[in-house]
Amino acid sequence: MSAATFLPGTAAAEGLATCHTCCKLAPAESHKCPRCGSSLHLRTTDSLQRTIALAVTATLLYIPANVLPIMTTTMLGTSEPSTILGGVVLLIHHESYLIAAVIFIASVMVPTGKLLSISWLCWSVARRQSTSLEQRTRMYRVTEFVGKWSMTDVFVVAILVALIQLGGLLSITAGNAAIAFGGVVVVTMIAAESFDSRLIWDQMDAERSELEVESGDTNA
Amino acid sequence: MTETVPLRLGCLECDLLVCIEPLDPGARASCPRCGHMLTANNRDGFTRSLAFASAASMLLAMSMSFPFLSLEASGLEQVMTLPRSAYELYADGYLLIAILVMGPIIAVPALMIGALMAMLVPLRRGTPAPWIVPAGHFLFALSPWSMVEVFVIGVLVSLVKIGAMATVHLGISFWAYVAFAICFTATLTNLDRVQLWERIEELSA
Amino acid sequence: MPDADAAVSQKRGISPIWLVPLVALAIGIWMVAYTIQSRGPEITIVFSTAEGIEAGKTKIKLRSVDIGMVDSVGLADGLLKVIVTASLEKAAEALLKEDTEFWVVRPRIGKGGVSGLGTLLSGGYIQLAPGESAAKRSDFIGLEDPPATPAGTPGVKVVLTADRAGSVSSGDPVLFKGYTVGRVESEVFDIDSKRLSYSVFIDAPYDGLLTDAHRFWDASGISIRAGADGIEADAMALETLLVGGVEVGLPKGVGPGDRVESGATFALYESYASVNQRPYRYNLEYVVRFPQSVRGLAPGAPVEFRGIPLGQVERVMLPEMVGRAGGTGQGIAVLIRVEPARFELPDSPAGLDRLRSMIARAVGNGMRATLATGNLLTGSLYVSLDLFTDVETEEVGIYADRPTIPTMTSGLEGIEHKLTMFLDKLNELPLEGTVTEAQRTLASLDRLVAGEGMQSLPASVDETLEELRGMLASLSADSELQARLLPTITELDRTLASLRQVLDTLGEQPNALIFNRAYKDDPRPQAGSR
Repeated sequence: MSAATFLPGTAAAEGLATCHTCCKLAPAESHKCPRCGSSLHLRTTDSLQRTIALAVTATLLYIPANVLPIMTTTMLGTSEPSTILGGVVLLIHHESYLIAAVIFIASVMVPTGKLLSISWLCWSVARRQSTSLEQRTRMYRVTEFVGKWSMTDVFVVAILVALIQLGGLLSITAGNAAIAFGGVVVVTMIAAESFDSRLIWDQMDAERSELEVESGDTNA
Repeated sequence: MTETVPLRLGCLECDLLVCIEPLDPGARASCPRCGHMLTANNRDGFTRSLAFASAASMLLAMSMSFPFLSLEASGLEQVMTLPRSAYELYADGYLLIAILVMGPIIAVPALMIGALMAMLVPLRRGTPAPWIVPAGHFLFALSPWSMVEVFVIGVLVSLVKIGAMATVHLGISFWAYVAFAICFTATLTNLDRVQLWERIEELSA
Repeated sequence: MPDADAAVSQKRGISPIWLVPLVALAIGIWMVAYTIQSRGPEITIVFSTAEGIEAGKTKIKLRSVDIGMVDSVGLADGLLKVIVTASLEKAAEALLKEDTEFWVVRPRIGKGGVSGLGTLLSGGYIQLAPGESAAKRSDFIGLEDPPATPAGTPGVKVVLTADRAGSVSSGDPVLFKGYTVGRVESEVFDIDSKRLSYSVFIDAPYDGLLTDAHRFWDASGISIRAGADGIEADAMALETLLVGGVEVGLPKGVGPGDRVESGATFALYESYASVNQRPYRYNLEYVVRFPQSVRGLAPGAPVEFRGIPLGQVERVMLPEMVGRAGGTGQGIAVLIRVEPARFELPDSPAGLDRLRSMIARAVGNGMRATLATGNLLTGSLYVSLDLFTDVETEEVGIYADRPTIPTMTSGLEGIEHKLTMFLDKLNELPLEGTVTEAQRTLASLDRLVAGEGMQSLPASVDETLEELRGMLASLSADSELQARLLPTITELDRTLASLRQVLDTLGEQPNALIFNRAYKDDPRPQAGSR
């Protein structure tokens, strides 16, 4: 992408790229940050493609994460596997509504939400949707922030497995869904990182950008 | 830390070219267009960051040495310590889970503290060192992967889940880890990425 | 005009933020110090298997209270044993003595019953029984099975020694009058002494019954005796029949002695019968020397005083005899044992003293030992002590450090002796004189018979006899005398009969002398109806 296609006022318009590691502003041609040596791009390479591919991977991993049991409870010889959703249902059954809500949000709503929002963001950039820029940016920020909190469930499983080892009376073993779900979280985190949010702003209409440039560009 | 030259930055979220005047201590600069925080001048940022990092490292060491949680049900007891649990997860064949869980909780933060201290100590003293830049790379590459606070929440959720059927005792290591989480977060919030790299650049010049 | 320069002051010194790591460091050091200070002892226990033991999980308990935890489990050098490293609470340090025992509690089915089932659910644990010795220890060898008697159980531990194993094994009960009062804990075969020793534990309060006069015998199984009365089968409790056991009791006729302490040694007898063969504990040894053959005198042969058993023959003292000059010249030395209890003296050292003085006195009064025939068929001998009147005074002597009782010859030898004495007596009789007297008397008798008076004696005797014959003839049936006597007697008879009648009447009616007799009609026979 040549500098000319970028909106005025952006760093890219002047051929400057911001280093992701050290935030140094440097000419993009050098492809290497003068300060920290990391690779320099105007925009993340193939951001949309990467993001979509990772989103698809995460979706694929999400299926075993919900179908396979996330942990098996062995009580006096009888083993009972439970999936993520099964665990939530059980918690509701035991009237631990708060914990059921936490687990449901962290393990169902958040990953699905992340996948959906990331996919939609990619699609919106690709299709040049006119949805509010601020909204999209907010969505992106939320997605990025919330990313690691989905790991709660995996940690809970790990703690339960480590703690509830009471011999023949009661013991918990981890199921393969834990690995799958961990994979989902990791992949969506990488996906969010590989989505370049600047692409959203690249589609701002020229009008608006001129307005902003005129109003001054310094802020304290 | 005052700068004589205004700083030019490209906003990482919307790529707006922003010019930042030298900031007063405590002030922060954000992108005028998208609101993304660009840089902040933390009071005694590096000193505080280093102090919190030292405290965090000691607390992390403590949290590994003592019982973390103990479960008691029908006279049977199971005590869990972080290192032993990691080893047992690995020994039971859950290598991936062991890495997935113990990495972001212990290994990543520990490495980050190490890298940070390796950077901040020469920086504060003003002596350049060849490892500062690589340490910086390392630090910021790892930073998305530390999930210390998530772990604390995870423990609390587990407590509630188990607490219904058995008695759970919070060991010393648990409280040490909570303190570690607090100190670690303080370490990172007192460290401004832009200021840090600016200082590194100054030093190597 | 340029602005006034702001007064710039450099912040000096150390920022207070460093308090945070300092506090963290302080807490850390305090925690470490506290942990080190409250750390208990670390011990190692060697087991043959680590079954049921898990590092970081298996606990060490005493009376079901946790006092420690296993830290690590590893194979010992040589891969033959398992070394378990465990750390105990500080308070438990005092329990680690030389004889403290450790064993793994797992489900077990054994002689004592089923135990440790709870560990199926909770996992095994190591139990400890604190020892009582003063020496401390930190490396132990664990027991494979729980000790039959946990340390600290009140009671007394004794040792039984035996030559043969019998059917007694560890875990067997110890019975007193059929009631279980303890158990056999362990058995050890000592190769040097070639004896078995059993460690036996008697529970309190029964340990108060045990005295040094009690004996232990093998009560396992059935004992069958075939004797003159027929066949007798004897079995103790069913438990001993199936499993084996040891019985404790007093020998017949023996009273209880002094209470025993832990560690006392007893002999294990084969049966109650063999206990009663040697029921007494105290005995005196004496040596008797017989000049004659001791063939037929076996060890165990009785020593009797006029038929009352006093003790038995121990052995022939060949080694002592061989070693001495003039060994066999003075007779074969036999060692006998005499038991004071058989005299109704106390079975104790005091009784020994009294018996010793009694024997010394008796020997002074003429008591001697002889060999007597016990059984004519087999020719077995026994030693008989008896008081003899005409013996030389002797005293208790010394032979091979033991007192001796003087002996006398006996049996055939005795008969010889008696005969000799008789002949001596006979010899002393004044036979010469007596025979001469007898001869003289016979001579005078002869003269007497040959004399006239004697000759005519038969003729006068003859005449007397004739007269006697004549007198008798006159008294015969058809003599005159009889003819005159007979009517007189008949008359007398009739008179007596009528007199009788009168007497009868008088008897019926005493006044008949004056009044007439009221005659009663004679009963008339009635004719029967036709």
